[in-house]
Amino acid sequence: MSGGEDLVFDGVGFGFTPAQLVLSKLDLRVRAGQVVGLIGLSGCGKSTVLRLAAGLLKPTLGTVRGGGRPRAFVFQRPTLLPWRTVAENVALALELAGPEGERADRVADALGRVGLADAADKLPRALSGGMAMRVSLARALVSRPRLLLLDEPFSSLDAFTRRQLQDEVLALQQTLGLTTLLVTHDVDEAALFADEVLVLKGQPATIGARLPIPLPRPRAAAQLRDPALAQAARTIEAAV
Amino acid sequence: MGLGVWALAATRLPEVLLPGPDDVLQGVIVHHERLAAATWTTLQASLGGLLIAVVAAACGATLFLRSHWVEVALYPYALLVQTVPIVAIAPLLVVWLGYGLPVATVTAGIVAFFPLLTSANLGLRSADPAQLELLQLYGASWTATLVKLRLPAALPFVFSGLRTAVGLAVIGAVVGEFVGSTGHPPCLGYLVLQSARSADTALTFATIFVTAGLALGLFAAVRAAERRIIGPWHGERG
Amino acid sequence: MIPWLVLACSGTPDETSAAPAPEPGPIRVTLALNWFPEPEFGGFYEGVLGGHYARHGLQVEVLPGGPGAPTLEQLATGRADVAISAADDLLVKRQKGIAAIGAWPAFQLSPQGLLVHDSGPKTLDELADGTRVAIEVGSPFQRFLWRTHGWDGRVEAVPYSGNVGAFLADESAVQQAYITAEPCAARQRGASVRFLKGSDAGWNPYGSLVAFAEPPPPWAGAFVQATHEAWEAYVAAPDRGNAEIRRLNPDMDDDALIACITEAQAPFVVGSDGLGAMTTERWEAMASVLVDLELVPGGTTAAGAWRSFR
Repeated sequence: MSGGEDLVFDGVGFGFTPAQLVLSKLDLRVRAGQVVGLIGLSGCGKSTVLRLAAGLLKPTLGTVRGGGRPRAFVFQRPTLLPWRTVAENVALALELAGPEGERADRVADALGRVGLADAADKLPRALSGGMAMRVSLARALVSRPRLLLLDEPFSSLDAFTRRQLQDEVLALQQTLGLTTLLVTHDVDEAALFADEVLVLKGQPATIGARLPIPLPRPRAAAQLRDPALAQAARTIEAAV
Repeated sequence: MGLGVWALAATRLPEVLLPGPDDVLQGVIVHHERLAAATWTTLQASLGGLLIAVVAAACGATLFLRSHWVEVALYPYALLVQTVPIVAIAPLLVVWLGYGLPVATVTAGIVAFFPLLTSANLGLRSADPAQLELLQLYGASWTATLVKLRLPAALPFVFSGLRTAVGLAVIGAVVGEFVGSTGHPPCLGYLVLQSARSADTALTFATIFVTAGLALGLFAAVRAAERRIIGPWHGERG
Repeated sequence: MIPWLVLACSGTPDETSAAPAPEPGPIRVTLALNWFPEPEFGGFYEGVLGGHYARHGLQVEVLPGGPGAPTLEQLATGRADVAISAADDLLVKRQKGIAAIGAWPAFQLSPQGLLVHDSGPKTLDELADGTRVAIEVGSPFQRFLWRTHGWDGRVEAVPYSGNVGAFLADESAVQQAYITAEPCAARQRGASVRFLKGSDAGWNPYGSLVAFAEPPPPWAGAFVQATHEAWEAYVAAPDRGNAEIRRLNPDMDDDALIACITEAQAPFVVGSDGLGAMTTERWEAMASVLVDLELVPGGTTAAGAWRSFR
């Protein structure tokens, strides 16, 4: 549906100098419209991989290409600008790189997709954690991204809100067919979302295991109790 | 209670040493026109100086942000502005600017500058790294990042600096007036000198109180502006 | 310049003087000067160094002053036993509650005046409209000049920062001066200057005036007698007093400068009535000038403000 390109890491290495790499020999491919989950222990470099994918960092060795434009990034914390309303925060992406004329419509559209149409004039301090995260999502969506990069976006939420948002993101990804790279430390979450899970390990870190997750789509958070998913999760766990 | 202690002390001392609250109040009432005119002049100098200081601090902080070399090169001069005593600079300013409002405006600006520079500096660098990454992701230029992220983020710090700076600006203006005023139009510094030298201690005290009142008034104005501008999104929740 | 906070905390004025009851040994007396140690106080230093005070049973400690030195206030709060002031200051402060009495003047003619360059006005009347005069604004002398010459709105009084440099740089500059300071300092820097005497214009308070707290201490007469003798000695032979002044005040430590000042002040010290004289006419004239200037209440006279102690 989105007609995007594959995101490709080709022999990527990253570090302060070529001699001091923290990531090395990174080869990965996220096929267009597919979800790849990236999992690994804390501090192993998952966020760095995501930032390389986003273009926020340049690889020391190798190349990163494809994935489509625009790219959207959802941080661990909502990272909303406190002086802007919900609508203004969402509009930020378009202010910097987007058509002026459609702005209001696209903002309204994005807010509608995350169920926050009524909250447009609220300030971030008035939002709950879950609502703020939704705004962050809406902001990611408003630019009609081809590539969606998620950095443990649900980790700061309580269990109930997390379930809700997982469902919503799943639905959005499936509806919009977004090429997605999801970084998480939660094996269940990885199994739930991904078509393929990559395990990042070692020093310097590299892809230690590639595990396809052949569970059928569409998926929903309710499946987290599914034995099939649990099985997949255990496989991932073993590989970490 | 403070007034009571003051009044009691005043009865035991000659008026020229310590006028009582009633004498001072009398002074304010009798000379209210002169005091009002003088306050207006000193207010102009204070606000003018504050404006200069704000602009200079904003430019300075932005330049420092843009270039570390500029910061290293110019910071010592900024510090110099802060440390040289105004009383020493003021006569030089009179030579360059002549007697009158300009001298007091400049001295007010000099005194208010450094706290504003420091808070602007701090403020511009206070942006959340994640927010900076966000803007980088959108391909925002350095200027766009400055305008859309750093400047709003800096506002709480700037207001904090401004709260200090307004009081200093008033003091700076008065000190400038001690050296470079003509009495026409009347200003608070000149009035202090004149009344003190005429041994009109009640008027001197009255002038000092009015000066303090001016500083407090400006402080309150900053507070009010702060509440309106950043209140909705910054500070303790109501 | 503004002394009350310091002095107000120092306690209340006392009825009895600060000097102890007569006892064997010299009476210790503190003398507060109203400026830095300079030849205008030469006789007092001569009094200490030449043994004049000692001969009269007094051990005098001279306390140097500076800008705005609150000598009468120090007298009132017991910080000093003797104050150096001027007749105008004394009369004004008495009306403000300072109980002090004038006893002996070192200067017959007021040392106050205006300093101009040679190319400037020859008399005070010649000051052109729009001139700026650097002077202690609000001082009795300033108010006197403006009132008697009708300068309000025509001549501007700007604060005097004590900076001779600004004066020297500007040929049209006019500033207040004391014969004992600025004229000699300016000439030393090569300027050709003229001193316009305040006394010529009718401003003639007794200067470097010895003042006691009221009622005066029992040793007041001895102090005045010793002071008179000391100043006679100083006028005749100023070197000893001046050596002490040079020691205490590095700004005075210059042969030419201190000689210039000592010589310039001599006619002001002696005047026409003679060293240390005080007349009712002069005192009452000063009081009535101050009444005109509204610095003292209408009807104020100098009665009780001064007394001869010799």
